[in-house]
Amino acid sequence: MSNEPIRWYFLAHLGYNMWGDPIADWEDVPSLKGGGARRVLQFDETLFFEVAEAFRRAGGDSIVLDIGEGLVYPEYPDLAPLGAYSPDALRDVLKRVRSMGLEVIPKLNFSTTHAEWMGCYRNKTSTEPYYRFCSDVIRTVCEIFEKPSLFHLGMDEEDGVCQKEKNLALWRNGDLWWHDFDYLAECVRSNGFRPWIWSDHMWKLWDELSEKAKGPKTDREGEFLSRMSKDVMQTNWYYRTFSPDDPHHPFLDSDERPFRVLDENGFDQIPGGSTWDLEDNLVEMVSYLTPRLSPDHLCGFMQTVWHPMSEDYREKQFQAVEAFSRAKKVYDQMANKPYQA
Amino acid sequence: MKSCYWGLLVHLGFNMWAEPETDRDGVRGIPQVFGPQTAAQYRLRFEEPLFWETLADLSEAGGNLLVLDIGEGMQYESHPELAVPGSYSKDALRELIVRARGMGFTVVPKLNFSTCHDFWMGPYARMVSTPEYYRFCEDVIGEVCEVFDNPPLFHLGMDEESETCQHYYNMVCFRRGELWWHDLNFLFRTVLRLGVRPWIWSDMIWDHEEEFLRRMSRDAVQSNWFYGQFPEGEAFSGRHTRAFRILEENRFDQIPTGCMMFRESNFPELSKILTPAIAPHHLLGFLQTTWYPMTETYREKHRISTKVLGDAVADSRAFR
Repeated sequence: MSNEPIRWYFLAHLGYNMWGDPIADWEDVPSLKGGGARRVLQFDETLFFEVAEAFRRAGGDSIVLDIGEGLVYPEYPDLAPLGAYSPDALRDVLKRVRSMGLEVIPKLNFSTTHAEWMGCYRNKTSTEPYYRFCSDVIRTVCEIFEKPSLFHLGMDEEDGVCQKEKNLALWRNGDLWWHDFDYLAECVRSNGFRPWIWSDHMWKLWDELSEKAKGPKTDREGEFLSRMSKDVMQTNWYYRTFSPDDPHHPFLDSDERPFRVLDENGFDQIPGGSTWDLEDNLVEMVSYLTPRLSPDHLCGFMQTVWHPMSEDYREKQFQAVEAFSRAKKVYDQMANKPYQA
Repeated sequence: MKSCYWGLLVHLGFNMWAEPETDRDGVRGIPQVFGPQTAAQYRLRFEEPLFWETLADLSEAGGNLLVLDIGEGMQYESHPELAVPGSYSKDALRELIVRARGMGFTVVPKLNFSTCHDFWMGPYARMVSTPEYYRFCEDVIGEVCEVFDNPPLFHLGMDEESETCQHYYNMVCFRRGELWWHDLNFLFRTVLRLGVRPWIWSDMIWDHEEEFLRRMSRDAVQSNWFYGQFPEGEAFSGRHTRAFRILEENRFDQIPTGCMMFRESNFPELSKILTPAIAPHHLLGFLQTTWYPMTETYREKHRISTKVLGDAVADSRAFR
């Protein structure tokens, strides 16, 4: 990706059934905490286009659309809640976004922590029906998005610590995670797109948690570096401050490290920030990382909100766009600063 | 004193822990720290000659109950894909059961439906709580009850369904809250509909006592298990031993369970301490466990198991 200008991404949720328990149409089991998947799509199209336009005016150029249950998959119509988009209706949305001058990139999260949108297929992780499902939905989404670009597969936070509120806790370790990830990446490639994932599978945090729980000794970073294909776009994410004076700074060592390690090992990356913990996290991220990551591999930055694209969260969405705008200005002012190898 | 079960758990199938070293898709399992036998294998680990010798020892020792943990050890007509080389046909298993009964044993089946111990289920272990999974459970329970010709009890396992017990698995899967109870009660109903009494391991009570006491059906026989040394002075003060007392206070039928794995004398100690502590009409008997495959490699383990069961039976007769 060298010699190309970096791109500016905004993650918007079409579907939002990615945290609680799946809707269990087949059995009437209440969710652990009363929350979980919704049966009505939480997406306000009018708001979405307002946010997209504001993002474009602020200098953004790419929307990452997290689809989830937001599309009626032709082979799996039972997964669709009320309000899910038909393939043609989604094509219309994409066409309008592109006419605004924005690229739009698909995302489907296949992490078992964020797979409620899959309904019962989450329960069938790593079986033949599951692999067929994944292949089918990836193909369907690629057909709708048409123009080969990136395809974000998610694959983040697949661990028990992130599933404490699920009725069915389920995650993959070791070789099985890699087997399934490689399968998904190949599904994406076979449709002409480039795979993209969250990079937290490489965090040393998981080694520490395993050791603390008297689990197997792992070296997630080492395994990641030896097994992850370089054609997979990486997004390590960090939502706190980059200031060394902050009392949370000890976390910075473990969470900032992957950006550097990815860069040193020649991975293309689009670092991910958010307004979730700190409103100007992306501003600090851009300021901190731009001079520290090789321009050959720094492909952009992504802003995330982690709230539904619905009226209840209008303020959150625009807050994130405004924070992005400040981050973009910081980058533009830094444009002439040398890269610190 | 009423007749009491003195039982031994024997494994016909043994694919009830971790994934194989390499599975059929080439995925490598995590190296096991609890012994290589805990990794699943694509062949049955059961040697009938040793089994009959063990049963003869068990009979000699005073044992009268055989719990056969079937797993992948039977060729299920409804799910032939689960069989491994060596799995018993239904007719062959019937013959084995008839022969064991002919030796004076009550023979009851066990199928473990805990997500920690379900590798034997093949692909269904990765379809937990789906319509296909529920149909599978009904199918296999039905077939096993048919082969065992309506046994008095059916052990459903349901132990150790937690993260802690699956650290060395490639696929970690466990149910919590409403879902665990929903699926447990489904299994109970499936067994009861066939005129058989369900039986489970009781360790869910250790960390969920209030919920367990409120929700657990008294239709199910309980086996709390403890494999160590009872605390001096206060036998029921420990997290695991307390459950024996709590189950008794709440009028559950019990078959307390011990093991020779960590402390050879555990089983006779357990039966000696618990016999006076549980009302005779709730104490259905005791169950000894070995947790090793029924193969020559582990002959000595099985010998010790039946020997200490014999010690416990002898103590109980002396106590009378």
